[in-house]
Amino acid sequence: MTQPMSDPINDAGMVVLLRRLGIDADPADLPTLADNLALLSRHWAIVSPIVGDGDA
Amino acid sequence: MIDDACAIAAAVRAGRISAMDVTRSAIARIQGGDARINAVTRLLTDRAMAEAQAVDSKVAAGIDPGPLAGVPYGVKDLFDVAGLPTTAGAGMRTDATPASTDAEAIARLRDAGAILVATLNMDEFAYGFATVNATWGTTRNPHDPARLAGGSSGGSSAVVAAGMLPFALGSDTNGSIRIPASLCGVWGLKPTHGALPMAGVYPFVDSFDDIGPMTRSARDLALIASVLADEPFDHSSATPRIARLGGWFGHNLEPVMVRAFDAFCAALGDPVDIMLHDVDRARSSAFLMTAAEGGRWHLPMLRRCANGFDPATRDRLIAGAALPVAAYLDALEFRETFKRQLTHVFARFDILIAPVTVGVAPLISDPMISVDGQRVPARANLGLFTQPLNFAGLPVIAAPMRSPGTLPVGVQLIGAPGSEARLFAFAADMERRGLLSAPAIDTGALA
Repeated sequence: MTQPMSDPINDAGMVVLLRRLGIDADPADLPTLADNLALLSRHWAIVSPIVGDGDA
Repeated sequence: MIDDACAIAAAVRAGRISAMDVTRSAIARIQGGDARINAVTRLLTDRAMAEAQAVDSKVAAGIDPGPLAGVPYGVKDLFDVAGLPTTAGAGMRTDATPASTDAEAIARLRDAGAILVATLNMDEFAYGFATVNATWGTTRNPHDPARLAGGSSGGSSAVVAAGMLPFALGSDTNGSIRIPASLCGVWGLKPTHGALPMAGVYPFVDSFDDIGPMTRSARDLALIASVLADEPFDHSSATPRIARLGGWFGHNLEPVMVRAFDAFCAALGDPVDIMLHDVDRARSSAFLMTAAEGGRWHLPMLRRCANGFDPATRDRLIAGAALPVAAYLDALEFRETFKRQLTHVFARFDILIAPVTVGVAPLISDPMISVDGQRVPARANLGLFTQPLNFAGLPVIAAPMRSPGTLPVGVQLIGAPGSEARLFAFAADMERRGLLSAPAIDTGALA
């Protein structure tokens, strides 16, 4: 089953994400990034409910 | 309280008052009152006086200066103004290359005789519903300076509500004209997507960005929209078929909104209540497309200087830039389904009505609203009832309802694409009947 985002997103994953985007920033300096990623994940689940996902 | 734009223009065209006097008065009102609401980012005194002088010269020469002769106005800080950097509300853009020409909307207003007086505060890059800005500060609601003006066009709504200027331009991607209009008690138009000129407007989300006027009267809204569109909106005289949107649009409402909206519906003879399907999917789709397009647009700058952004904006944009393309495509695909449903609805009804927000302006000290029993940030969630309509590209007028003794609340008058003329005619009728009108400001609130 494909998940919209990694969950939970840990610091290591965040570092990889930022590097992939080409953004030179420390995850510790982006205090609401994880919340915003989780929010988008929830909205995606509303747009495209995931079969078998209890949260969808 | 100042006159509306129609009254000012009529007086200037008739030579009863000079454009320079009108402009001086507007500048004086801003200088005397803006410290209390923090709506203005730049006062354009020299330019304004030069434009006013040109209008007066035309009047003296017997030349009609145009339908907005001598009417002072302001623009959200994302319109190009010749000779100035277009900040889009971003501190890092204060030293951007100055615009070489005015935005097309400003050029059309100038040709109609209007006088540009000020640029106005907004959420950074228009990504928010609060007008809480890390560089220019928070714009306060003229009806209660302890409360938000709403956003992202909060500077525009606040100067009009406070009576400093008769109208202002804003932009609306997810509700950024309608929400501050509602919270400040003024009129606002989000046009059919693409109906008004976007040249020279700093972009956010191409799929949804629109500009529009914010005014103190319905007739001003129609006049200014016709100038911006460069064509008259022929008024429809047919009695519109009206429906009230229930379901999604009836949940989470504060008691003050329920009372005002129910009273408005009762005055209309309690129109039939209908429910759209999948409004939650439409709202979430708008949320995803906004994040993805906004994130993609700003990614080069995030790579160069992420720390130059307002932190509240930066993290939202980075999250959007990281969104998988599949999420964007899912939202895009659903849009056609949602639009088809609305096509069927508008075959039966001409105008749909719904609240703009869940309630009154949140406190600046506690910028939260309640949604489904949870307290969530107003900055990201005030668009609960507006975002689904941007998703479908519909024209919507936000109008101030009667709510005596309370803070302002607004109603959305929603039409089929291209039906602005019908909306203006209905709005004017409601204003004549006293059902919709901009509340007078309690000057004590500004003391």
